[in-house]
Amino acid sequence: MTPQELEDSLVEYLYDELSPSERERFEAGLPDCPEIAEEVAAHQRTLEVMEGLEDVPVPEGLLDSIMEEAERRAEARVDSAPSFLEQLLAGLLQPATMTLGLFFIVATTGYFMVDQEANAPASDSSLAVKTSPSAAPGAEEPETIPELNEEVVADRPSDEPEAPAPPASEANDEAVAAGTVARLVQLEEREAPSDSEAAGGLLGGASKTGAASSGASGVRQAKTAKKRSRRKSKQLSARPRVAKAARPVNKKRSVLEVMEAPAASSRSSAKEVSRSKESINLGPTTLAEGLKQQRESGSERASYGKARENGKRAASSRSMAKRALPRAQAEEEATAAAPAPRPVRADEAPKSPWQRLEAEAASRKSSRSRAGVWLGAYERYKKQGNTTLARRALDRLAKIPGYEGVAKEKRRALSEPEPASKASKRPAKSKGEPAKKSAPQQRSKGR
Amino acid sequence: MQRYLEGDSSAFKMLMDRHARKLYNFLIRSSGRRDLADDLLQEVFLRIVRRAESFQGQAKFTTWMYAIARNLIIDTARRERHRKTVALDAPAYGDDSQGETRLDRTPDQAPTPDRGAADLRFNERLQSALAELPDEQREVFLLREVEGLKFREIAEILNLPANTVKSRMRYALEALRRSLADYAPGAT
Repeated sequence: MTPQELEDSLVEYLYDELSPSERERFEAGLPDCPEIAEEVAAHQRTLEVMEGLEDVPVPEGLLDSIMEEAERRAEARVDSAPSFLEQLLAGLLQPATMTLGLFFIVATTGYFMVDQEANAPASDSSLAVKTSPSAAPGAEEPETIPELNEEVVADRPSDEPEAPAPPASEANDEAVAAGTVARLVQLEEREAPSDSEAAGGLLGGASKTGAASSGASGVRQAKTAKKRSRRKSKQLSARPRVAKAARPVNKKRSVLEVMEAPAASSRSSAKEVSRSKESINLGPTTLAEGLKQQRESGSERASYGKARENGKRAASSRSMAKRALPRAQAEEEATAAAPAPRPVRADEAPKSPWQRLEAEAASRKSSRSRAGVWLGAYERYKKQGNTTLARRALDRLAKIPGYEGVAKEKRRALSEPEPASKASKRPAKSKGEPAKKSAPQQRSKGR
Repeated sequence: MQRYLEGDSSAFKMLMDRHARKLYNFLIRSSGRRDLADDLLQEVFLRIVRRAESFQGQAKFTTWMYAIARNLIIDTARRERHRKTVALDAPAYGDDSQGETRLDRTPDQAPTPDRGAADLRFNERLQSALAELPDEQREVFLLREVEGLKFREIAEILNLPANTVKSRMRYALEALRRSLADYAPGAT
């Protein structure tokens, strides 16, 4: 061993921590290094002196309180031995486990939020899919097609107002509702060329678009439209309620008010025609208007479904009114072209001449007067050559007491052909005069 | 310790019986005061009881126990340094000191002819020699000489390299040799 190695191993040699081989080498090197050997000897004497240090015993009872505390804690540890569930809970509450769980929750929530955000712009996919030529039949397409939505926006006519961008955050419910209504207005304006299609509302629009495209894409579009309507319903129902005083007063007729007007009566009279016109002008022409009116009319619990139903009903009523409008307008024009009729009393309901005759005869009190009415009718119809009505007039005359014979005679005369000479010499008007004159004669004879 | 953690209080009694005496002497020689060593011994075992669940069994119980004791000694020494020191020429105890100073009442460290008194003086001298050691040398010396821990274990307790521990031990021995030259004349 070198002197340095001896110096490094000195304390270990003093406390006998060297291995036997190291100890031999150390002792073998000491004679070659007297300074180290002298230091070892001096330390050994010092340590011998230090061994004289008093070994002090622990005072009695010094640790009794500690022992009691230890026993108490040991018993408590046994009593509160954790069950399996507690151990499981303790494991779950470990920082690493909690961190992992928190990460899982955040990741899951983030995934669903991103999924919902991704689905949100797909509200126009019903139109967008129609324009996609690369849609393979049967292929599963993602419901979110933001690029196609942009395409729809690009297809918008330049004169149409620019629709607001899709809501970026659901937190802004007011912006969401406003954007939804504006987009619905655009959709309805493009999707509703006819009333029957508009009556279907949003779903009808989606179905129509689906019918224009292939069958598979139509089904997808209908599903997308349903999802979209469900989403919008949620958005609308989530809108904060507007204070009643702050809401504007609605000057127009509400959707339900329009629908309460009977649609059938809109065909019958000019009054109903005007009402139909009013309903056409004032009623909600689109679902979006229905929504707007529902909002503006202060319906605090306006839901999307109710508004959509109102919109559909309003569109149906408008369709019926539009169909009835041409007919009613024609009647109105005919009525305006005809001469003004004399004022009709309430009891002058009959319209035909025969009915007027019957009414006139019924209005007469004396039988003679009634007979005069029917004889006059007989003569008039006979002169006109209408023997049927002439006979009917005689039938009415025969029912009057005392004029049966006159009616019989007149009927016989009517059935017998009149001589041409007589007919030529005598005017047709005076043809019945003898009968008139003969009647009193017969009555006088009979009497 | 594992048995105590499972609820066997007698296991803790065995631990105390095995280590209390050596620990107590270590605390006496480290602090230089028995009253303080009494408090420190209780405090060490109380901490062991309270922190039993934190003992993982990766280290020896002795290592863990002396680490606790050492931290307590350091904290106590830090507090002791902030205590107001009293001059030795100050009046001994109150007004009845009759002109005596604290130095007059401080025992003479020289050995006396009486055997018992000689032993007492010898122990006091040894204790004084230990007290004169720097803290880092004294703790190494005590852990090795009194507690019988190997240098490797002391290095683990103090979180130091083994060679550093051995160097401190050598310096401590040299200092003690100088201090105890009267009792070990051949050592100088």
